[in-house]
Amino acid sequence: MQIDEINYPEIDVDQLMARIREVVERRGVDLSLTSKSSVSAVPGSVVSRSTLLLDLPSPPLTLSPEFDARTDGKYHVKDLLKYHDRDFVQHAYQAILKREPDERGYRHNIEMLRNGQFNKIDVLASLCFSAEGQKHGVKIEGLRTPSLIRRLGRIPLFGYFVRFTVALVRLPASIRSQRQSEAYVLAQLQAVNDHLNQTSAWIAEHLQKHGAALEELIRREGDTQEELKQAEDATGLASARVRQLSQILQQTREELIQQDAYLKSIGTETPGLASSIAQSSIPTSERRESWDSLYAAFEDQFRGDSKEIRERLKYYLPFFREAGKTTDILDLGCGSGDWLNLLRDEGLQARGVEVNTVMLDACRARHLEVIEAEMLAYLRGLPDSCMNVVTAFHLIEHIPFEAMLELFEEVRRVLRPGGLVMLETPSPENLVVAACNFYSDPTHHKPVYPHTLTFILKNLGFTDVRLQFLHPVEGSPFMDDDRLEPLHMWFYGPRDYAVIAAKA
Amino acid sequence: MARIAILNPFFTTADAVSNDVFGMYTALKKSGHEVRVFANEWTTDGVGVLSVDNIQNFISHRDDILIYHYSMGWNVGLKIVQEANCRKVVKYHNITPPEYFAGISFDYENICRAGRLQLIDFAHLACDLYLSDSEYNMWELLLAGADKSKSFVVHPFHHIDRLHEIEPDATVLETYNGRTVNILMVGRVAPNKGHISLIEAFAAYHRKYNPDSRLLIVGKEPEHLESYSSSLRKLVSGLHIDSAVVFTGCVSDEQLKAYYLVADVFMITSDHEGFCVPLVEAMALKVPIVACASTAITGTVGKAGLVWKERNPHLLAESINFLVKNESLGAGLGLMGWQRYEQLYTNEKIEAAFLNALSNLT
Repeated sequence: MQIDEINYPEIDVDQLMARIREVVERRGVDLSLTSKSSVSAVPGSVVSRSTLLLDLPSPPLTLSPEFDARTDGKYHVKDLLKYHDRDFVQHAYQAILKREPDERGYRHNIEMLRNGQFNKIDVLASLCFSAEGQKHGVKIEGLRTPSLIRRLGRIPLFGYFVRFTVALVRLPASIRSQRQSEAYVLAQLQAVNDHLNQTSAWIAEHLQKHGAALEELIRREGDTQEELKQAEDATGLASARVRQLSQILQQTREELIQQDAYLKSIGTETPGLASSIAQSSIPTSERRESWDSLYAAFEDQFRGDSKEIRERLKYYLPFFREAGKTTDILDLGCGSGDWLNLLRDEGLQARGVEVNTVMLDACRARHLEVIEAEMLAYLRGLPDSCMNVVTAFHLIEHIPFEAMLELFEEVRRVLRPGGLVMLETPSPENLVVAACNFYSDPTHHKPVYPHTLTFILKNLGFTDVRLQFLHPVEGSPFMDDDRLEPLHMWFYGPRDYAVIAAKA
Repeated sequence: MARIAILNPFFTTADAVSNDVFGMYTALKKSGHEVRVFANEWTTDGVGVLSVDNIQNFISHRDDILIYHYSMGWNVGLKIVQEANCRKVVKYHNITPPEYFAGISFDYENICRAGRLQLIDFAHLACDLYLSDSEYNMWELLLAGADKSKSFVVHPFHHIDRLHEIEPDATVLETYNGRTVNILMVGRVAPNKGHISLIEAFAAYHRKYNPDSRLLIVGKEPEHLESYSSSLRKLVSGLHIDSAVVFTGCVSDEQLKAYYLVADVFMITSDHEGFCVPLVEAMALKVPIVACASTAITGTVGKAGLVWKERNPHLLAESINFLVKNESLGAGLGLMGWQRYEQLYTNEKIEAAFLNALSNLT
């Protein structure tokens, strides 16, 4: 069925709700009474919180019988005269006009009844003989005669005699009615009295029963401000702690995965490579600790001025901008994190991998994202094409050729197409470096010849392979004479070189 | 064409979250996309669910789309969204604040707390789109820091088409169809659903207006929330309305349909709802609604039901009385609900809104 085929009802929900509210208010219900929400601010039973509200000792006190609306629209006047005041007006409207009383009509009728200008017959007659009443066609047997007499009684002078005569004729009936009314009022009072007694007894019983609970609640109320403040503080601290723990957990999980991958992998490696990696990366914890401290101290002394290193590293930043790479950057052998720190300062999102625990601590102290893992094992655990840039500065000279080849293969695998690898290593074309400085670091394996490196990368499928010599030695005496150029290069030439390549 | 992965921790049948995931999957498939659902666990394989472990390979290209259905705390999901190098969409289904479970279930409290904590993480992930089940959910996301220009409301897909198709359960119809006035509430029996207010309002109606009335509380009673369920039963007992209140437990779709068909009024007094699918079910099946205004309820019902700001049992009871006493009024309000359903909440309308929201992806 299509929507526009339907004849929609026109219910004004706001108006309907206003009417409902009015009816409820007319019954004298306290609308500020609020049912309990389920929020368990104070741990405890739902029942104990709710029964205080609605578990009344007996059904609510009603002094009038239930109104029985007739479907055939026929009433006897006594059906309505048995109600009083608010109930009378409401039921008269429901019976004759088949609706709830409107605000104005309700107030008018109540006022006239209470000040004696109207009696119930007048109210019924005014509703019944009104245009709206006539339209509904409700018949009230026994209304016409008393209503006529009431109208005659309002005629000046003549009305007085009518009222006097009616009063005389009705005197015995009036006296009987008066007595009935008196008995009725007394019975009502008795009912009110019984209900009040019952309610008081119930309140007393429940007050005693819930006294302790109430006292506890009051005490808690008093403590609430303080508790709230404490809770706020605790929540702040807890949130921070939870985040910190989550980070640690995440790192631990990653490390476990890497270690697992590593342990699996060393079983399948060639014996030489496996043993060399195993020996270099997982020594006994005692040995490793002492070695890590020693190497960190060595690095600290020999690597040079931190500021100068930072300046040198800035050489690589334009490559990131040029390629639009800002996230998923991985630095292998990140050391104490100078490079990661620079990347972070430049707004680039990077993480490092390192095995030296002392250096890892240094990174963490700088709040850098680092993972304690052996780099090859870590790379093997990464999915394909998940990184934008992999950097490895002064790392490849530390590992044997076979491991270096595998490293490049893994780097190519984890890089996304267009991703960059950036390598820096000492240049053996400077003879002082090749013959002397290189060996200052006892963990250096072999210098890597620049053109060999570029050849390997091209051969492995990298493109745009760029070679750049860096960090020439200052104060060369061979600069001014072209014939001495080789000498200049051998002794004062660049100490390091960079190779930058892209994954096709 | 870009591939689309929908990620959700758990995929099953007859569950609001899974219905939504299934709806998104179907809509995308229909519009010609290569789309797969990934989950950590699943109990049904109607859509060819793949393990979450395979998601990285599926969405490897920058133009691919990851839609994460956020309905609980899940670190793996968060990490995948953080690391995905493709366009990212978060669909926020809402998570009940943990306070509701304090003193009732430590586990639920912790699970919800962990889930709510991730709201800030997701909001700050700079995702390409944030879709929310309701205006209320969107407001929560914006408050947590999500980008307003990327936020849209897309109501959840649901199983109402199926409800329309199936036959109602005969036993339920036979048991509850009759003179007795049936007041219906549908939803998990959990502390955020405001059962206390519901039962108190029904008690007021039952005592004052109509002793020939019944409250049907339809919904699963989770084992971990047993103390809450038993407290509600004690409350019912304390109010002397045991014989008039029925806790049905978990029901089949056929039974659910039958309960809607026998209902005279649908009443809901939840303290916290992220959208409230049962309200839409009631609208679709033309059952007039009486509710308390809270969280997403006001927005979901609109002007198609009586939604009270006050949690007052007498107002709620009088509302039921009005609708039951005046049959045309009850039926009229039911029709207004159906009209709202047709205008906003059919799966076709939701599909259009969903695809339209996705078209904002650049």
